[in-house]
Amino acid sequence: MDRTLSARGLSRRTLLSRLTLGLGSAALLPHLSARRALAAVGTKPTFLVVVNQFGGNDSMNTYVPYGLGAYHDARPRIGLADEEVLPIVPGEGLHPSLAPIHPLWAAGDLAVVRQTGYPDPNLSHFESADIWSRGVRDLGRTTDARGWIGRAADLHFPGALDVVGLGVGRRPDFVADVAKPLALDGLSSYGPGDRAVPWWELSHRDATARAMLAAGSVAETSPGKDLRRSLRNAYDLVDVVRQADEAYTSTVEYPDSSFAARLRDVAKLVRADLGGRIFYTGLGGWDTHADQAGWHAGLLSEVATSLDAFQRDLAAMGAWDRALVLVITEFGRRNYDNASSGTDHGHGQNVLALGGALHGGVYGPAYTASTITANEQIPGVVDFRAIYTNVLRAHLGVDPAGVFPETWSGDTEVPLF
Amino acid sequence: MAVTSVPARRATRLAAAASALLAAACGGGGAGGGSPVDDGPPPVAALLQPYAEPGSGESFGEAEARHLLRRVAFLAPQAEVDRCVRDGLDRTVDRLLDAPRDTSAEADADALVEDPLRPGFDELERSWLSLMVRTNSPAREKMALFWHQRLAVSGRMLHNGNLRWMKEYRDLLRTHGLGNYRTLLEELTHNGAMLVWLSGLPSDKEHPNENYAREFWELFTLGVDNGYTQQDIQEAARAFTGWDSRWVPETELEELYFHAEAHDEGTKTILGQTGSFGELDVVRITLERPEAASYLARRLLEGLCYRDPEPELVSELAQRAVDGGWELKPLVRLVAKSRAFYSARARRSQVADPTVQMVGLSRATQLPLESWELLWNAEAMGHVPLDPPSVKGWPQGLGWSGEQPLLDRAVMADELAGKDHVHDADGNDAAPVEVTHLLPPGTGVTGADVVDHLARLLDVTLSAAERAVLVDYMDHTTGDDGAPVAAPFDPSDPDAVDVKVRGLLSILAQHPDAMKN
Repeated sequence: MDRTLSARGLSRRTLLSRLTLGLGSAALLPHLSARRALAAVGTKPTFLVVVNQFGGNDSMNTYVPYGLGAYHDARPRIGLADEEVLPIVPGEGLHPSLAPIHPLWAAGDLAVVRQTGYPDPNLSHFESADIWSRGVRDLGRTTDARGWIGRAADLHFPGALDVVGLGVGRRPDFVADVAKPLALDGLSSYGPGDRAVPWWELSHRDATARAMLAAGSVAETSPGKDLRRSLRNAYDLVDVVRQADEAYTSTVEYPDSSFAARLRDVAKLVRADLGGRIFYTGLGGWDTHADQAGWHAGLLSEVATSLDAFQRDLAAMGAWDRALVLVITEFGRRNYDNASSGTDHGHGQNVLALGGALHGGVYGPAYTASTITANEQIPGVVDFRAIYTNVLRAHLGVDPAGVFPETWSGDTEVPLF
Repeated sequence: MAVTSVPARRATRLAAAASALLAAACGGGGAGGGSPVDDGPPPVAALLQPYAEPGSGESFGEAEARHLLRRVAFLAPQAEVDRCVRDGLDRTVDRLLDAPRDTSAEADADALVEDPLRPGFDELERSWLSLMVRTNSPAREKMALFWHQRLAVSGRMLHNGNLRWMKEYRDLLRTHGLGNYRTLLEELTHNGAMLVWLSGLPSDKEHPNENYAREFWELFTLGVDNGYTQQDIQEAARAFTGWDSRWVPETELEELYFHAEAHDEGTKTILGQTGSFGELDVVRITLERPEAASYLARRLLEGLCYRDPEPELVSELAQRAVDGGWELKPLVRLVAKSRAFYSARARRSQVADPTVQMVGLSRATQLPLESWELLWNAEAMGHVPLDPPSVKGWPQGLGWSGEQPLLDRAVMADELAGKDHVHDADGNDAAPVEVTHLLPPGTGVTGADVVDHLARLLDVTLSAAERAVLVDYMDHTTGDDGAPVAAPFDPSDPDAVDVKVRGLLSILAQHPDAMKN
């Protein structure tokens, strides 16, 4: 058959304007109506955006203790010169590629949580990422397979649009017992629909599938009727997501990158007032074992320019004060650069937090010469769960109890809010 | 904050889930499906009696054959279903369970692993998924999956130097899943992948690790708090000590070995027996407990028939397990030929695991998803064999429901229906994949004929209204304005056949019946 007449060639907007069937049910979606009512009277929820730097970001060259001779001694190949660093507090500052978000510091919208990690460092990508995802240090001692977001979702955010991942697949963070977080590659492509068939056939299939699901026998029993109800709701969700994509307008220009597009998708969902509480996205490429400097600067630049656009977009729609962005990674890297002008796997990291309502500032222990010389890697003094606990309680407004099954030493919360 | 409405909504949702489970447990799910036995359930004593005995009024037709295939193997093409009906129940069950290893398909699957000594995790996953789709011995793979869910080990904590242990784990499930239960447990107890997964490596008598001891009873053999104490766990952990591994630089492999000096030789008291026990003693002592036989019987009946099987049925099968020396195949054979297995209560009462649905669709339609397509879809659906989320395995039943998980299945079905090329070794489009084989035989085929044929193939029972919607789809196209235009299905137009058969397949695979098992 001729598959050159592809839906790929048409904008989603054109396609949707031509669809005569299958739309219009979203407004009646029962699990959304309550949110819309709330939105109508102006009660808009706070939300968290997790940005994960997959692969292990070199945190010491992101938030830089440049005032210490030990820093420069440890990094003869990739250390940043004093004059390059964008100052935050005396002797500590941001990588120059983070210039686009540096003004947030003066505005009180930026916080840094230094030396964040967990007890007993694990230098494996998988295991350390799993510890962060599940919010559990001793993975071998629990049969609870849920992620920390999954546990929070089971308790507080069970709605289909409450927790949304963008371009990160099915995150282990999202594994839940009851809640079923959304996993989007992108808003415009959400849902089934073979992109290689012509748009009119695509729309015909879409409408037929919905009509079939609506035409079930009233005598249908479990589990069939449950599956049918869920799939019908799912099609409504597809409409809601695509409508959010269609309805969005903004004067803010985002950089041309897939990470920026994911953040813009978050902005679209926020703009549509669908009630999302936790968004999760990220970008890879941070495992910089060799020739790190240029590569790392490029990645940080992509993060900062994208976050800057996102921040301005949210501010323009009046949502910045409800937002918190946490920039994390599975581990920081070694204090010492290696002979290949890169860095190997380390442990602790400096978490960046951005938001219109947070208490800007620098948290966690200050860097001293011995932080660098007495350790191979940044220590994990502040437990990452202390950040999440504060965010759950004071920003998202829910009881953190039950989200983290273990206790940890040190502060229970980092007072970002 | 917009969270005020959440608790109420959650409560509703939980209540709905609970009532759904209750409905399933009370015998729901027999909807449709040919001629289920629904003149009331047979008496419990007769439930293990052979189904469709002469004079019973019961019959083994297409619906029964598909039920059998879905439960002990995978959904199959029409020719295979026809053969099952022709052969009858006895011969079909025997043929499925006694099928010899498909060494040709196994060799093809093994070839996906570049270095068998140092396999990649995704290579092993792709290899097994591909084998499930292509093997002529599907019951072996299906029963291995059955045990994978119930003796769950993930390979994600392993690396290239020891991932071969994960292949050994997979193969012990494939070899003993229809073999001997005692052997299955013994092999598992010193499998390297299990030892890493459940903290048994190294295990030293100074620091015995209780993780495996606890899960061995709690999840694998007895059930939570079913006849053992914390003291028993501590004693069994001592019996399990002695395993260690070492890195061999010359081969770049991690090697497993039993370190006699690290094994605790002392006297232990385990489940009431006292002696200088080792790991095989723990297996033996466990299987001497009546709870072990009941637990096995209940798992077989719940997995193959229905939830909450009758206690009399469980105890009868448990007795047979003990009498038969823990041979699994005779138990599966007995169940797969029984009236319980074909009862209305059993039919379509389960939700198919996502990967099982995918493999069944690919086999039944003969649209050959390639190994990486299988893996990507399995990942998207959250059901990648060899990587269960925890030692409890994956969600089951309506745990697979929900908007996002079902959309993931719809996307998978759509991708399968759109499979129009196989790829060469470089990933370029090679041979085209046609769908003409999915048309019903004969001439003058109508849109309605295709709907009925594919619904049958996918084991979907359509309501009259659903059927009308689908026939309407086959007999219409859409014009430039998106409005339907009458265009009766024309089997002689290759483009129309390609578009409509693929479209219908994609839609039918989203029917609730297609997601049931």
